[in-house]
Amino acid sequence: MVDTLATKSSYYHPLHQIDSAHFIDVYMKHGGYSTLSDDKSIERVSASRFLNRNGISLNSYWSRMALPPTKPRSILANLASYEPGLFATRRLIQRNPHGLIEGMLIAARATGSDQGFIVSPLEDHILAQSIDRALAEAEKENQWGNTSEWSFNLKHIRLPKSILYDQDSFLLASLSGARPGYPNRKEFLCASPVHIHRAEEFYALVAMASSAGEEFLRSGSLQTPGVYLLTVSGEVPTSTTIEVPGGTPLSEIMQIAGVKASVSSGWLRWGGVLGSWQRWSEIKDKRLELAANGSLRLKTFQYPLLEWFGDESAAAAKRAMSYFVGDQSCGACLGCSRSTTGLSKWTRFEKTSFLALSKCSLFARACEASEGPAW
Amino acid sequence: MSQSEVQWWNFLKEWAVSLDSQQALDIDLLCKKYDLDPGQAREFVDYFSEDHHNLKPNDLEVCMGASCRAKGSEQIWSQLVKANNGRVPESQILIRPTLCLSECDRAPCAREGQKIRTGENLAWLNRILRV
Repeated sequence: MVDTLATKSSYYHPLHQIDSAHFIDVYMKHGGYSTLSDDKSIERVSASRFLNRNGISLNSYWSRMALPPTKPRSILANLASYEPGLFATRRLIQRNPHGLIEGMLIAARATGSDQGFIVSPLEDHILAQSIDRALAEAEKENQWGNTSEWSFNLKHIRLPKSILYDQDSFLLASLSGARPGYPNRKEFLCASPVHIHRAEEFYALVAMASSAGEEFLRSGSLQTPGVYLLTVSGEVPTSTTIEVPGGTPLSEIMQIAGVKASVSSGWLRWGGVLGSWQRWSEIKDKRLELAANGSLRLKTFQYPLLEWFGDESAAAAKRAMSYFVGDQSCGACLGCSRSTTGLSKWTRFEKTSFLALSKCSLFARACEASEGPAW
Repeated sequence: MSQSEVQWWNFLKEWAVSLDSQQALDIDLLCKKYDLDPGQAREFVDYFSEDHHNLKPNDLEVCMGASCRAKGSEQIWSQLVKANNGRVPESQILIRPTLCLSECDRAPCAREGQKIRTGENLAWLNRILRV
């Protein structure tokens, strides 16, 4: 099995060769949390052009909230957004939970946040245990909390997995109590602005802030600087997690997962269930460009996930997608479930639910994602 | 941390303990103890109640994610259902699909009780089919 989280050039899990690096004493012994005492590392992170999930640089994402320094604000690691097939993040947190906390502390200093939230899926007890243990260890070592030198509090919130949480606006509205039927945590948010990131972005911050930061930022292309953690799965011989610099040709990436260069049939689905289907022959020569005007343009629903399917199994994957979309539909309208309940049922309700449909971005994405291979 | 936040934390802690120990929870009593709105607390507990019935040791969840489907989980599903239908009701097992178990690199996979079974070794499938 190819697993670049366990190769010597891993930026996202640099301590992979160290036994028990998920315990804080071992983590700190090998340089963990040292980036927090270096002012230059925070400057380097702020000045980087690394792209976040929205396809914009971290600094422009953070600076969208022009607030006075005294105004409280928060950061949030979003693990509750649900993407089938995206197993890289879970593996990373299980192996290196302190990397997530260190990355959040770096982001909090760069943004001036005084609160952090880790939102994890309720169903995943193993992941929650890793996070809770790491948080308790880091608090005991005074990395965060009331006894640390710097006032910063971290909370672990567990929510049921939902694809709707992928949208920042929905997650925030749900947590602040504006979405009836979804669990809220308005006591914690206190109506303060929140910066939301995916977990792997916090690991990238640690890589940028560390001694390998210059090298990390020099990697990649002009449009997509830095090294990105991708999950490659589907019908490939070896589903894997890989770290690739921006601008790498897709054919090279898929070769690592065992798809031969000569293969030109099949389909590639990038960006996850609500991403896009494209014929492999049409996209194989393109490069991994995540910018707004790049090849993949994972702007709205950016999941770092590439899935290759042969012509026959693409239909099975599409069935899996429709099953998933139908299950994850909020139920406010029938749009998302049209692929599972049938077009006839949907058109019967079309007139009454048209207004709801026009407001539902999930439906729009589901319609786009329905294109692709035949059933 | 505000007073109401602390009270919610205490409530959640007791709720989590009751789930682990599988003991019934008296929500009204807890709400009185921590001065919480019973309607809100009940809404919260009801919302999550379905997420917390643990699978029995023989119950099976078969992953129906795209990677698992591409590697044959649909065939596994039909084999399991066929074998289950051939059994007397007392020895039938609960089989249900699940969306993704996040073990795509070891597809096709399933969860039997609390244990993850993967496609690296399909002995688990043969064992279940043989029963």
